[in-house]
Amino acid sequence: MSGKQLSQDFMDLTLFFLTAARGCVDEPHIYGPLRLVDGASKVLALGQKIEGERFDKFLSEVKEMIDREKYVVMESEEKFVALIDRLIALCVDEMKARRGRR
Amino acid sequence: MNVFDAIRKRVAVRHYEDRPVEREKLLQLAWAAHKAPTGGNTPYRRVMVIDDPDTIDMIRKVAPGFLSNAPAALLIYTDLEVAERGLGRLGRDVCSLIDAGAAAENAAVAAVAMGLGTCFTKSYSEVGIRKVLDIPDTFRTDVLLQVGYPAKDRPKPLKRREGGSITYLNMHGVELR
Repeated sequence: MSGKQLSQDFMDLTLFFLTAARGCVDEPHIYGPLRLVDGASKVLALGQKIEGERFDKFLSEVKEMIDREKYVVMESEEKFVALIDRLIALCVDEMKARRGRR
Repeated sequence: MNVFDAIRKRVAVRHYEDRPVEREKLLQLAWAAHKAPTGGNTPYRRVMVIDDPDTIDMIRKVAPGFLSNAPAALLIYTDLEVAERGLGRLGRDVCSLIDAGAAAENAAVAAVAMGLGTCFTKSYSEVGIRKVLDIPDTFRTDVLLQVGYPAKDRPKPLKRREGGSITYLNMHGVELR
């Protein structure tokens, strides 16, 4: 990936977080968590773009799960919060496993 | 397709086929949007057809709510000076917004009849959209409609939240069931 392309991707990410921050002022409060979760997906997408097939498989699955399930926020705040909790639990389990702990 | 079928089938579409929408169809959607009412017959509404891929990409960057891969969009917006001159503050702050919603729904229903899908979007940066599209400060953007051909393998539409379809008969509180 070229430096120019990487700069463009960081520009996109910066604009996403800035516009999401501005949206948090006026939008429904649950949209803040949605933007952060979506932001996590975008960060992971950038990782995939940089590393290609070498990118961490677990993190790719986390990204896939976010992209597949995030829309539940439009249906139920409760289900969306449950999704975030599931994502956190998954990531913590993985973090512990990678440190040789259970 | 009759109008009731189109209304019934209109849902927020967030997954689209990877192909552009014909310009002619987008212009038909703009026509449908313009057929919606404007308060006092005041010509304050503006519709922008956006199908340039680079412009759509830039919009996506300043619109966190533009979650889909839609290849096109319709922006409904208002000339605030015309609205205020014609209908005062009511026109500027209330009627024009109501009418923007009506215009967007007209386009959304027409889209269904043409085999297209749409998604209403308001989660965008007003400043960002203005800058991308060169819209002066004397205009207010009201709603962005994502447009495209719905993906065949898209997820099922979300369930409607409870309480969204309450109809009263003749008196508030007398619910029609």
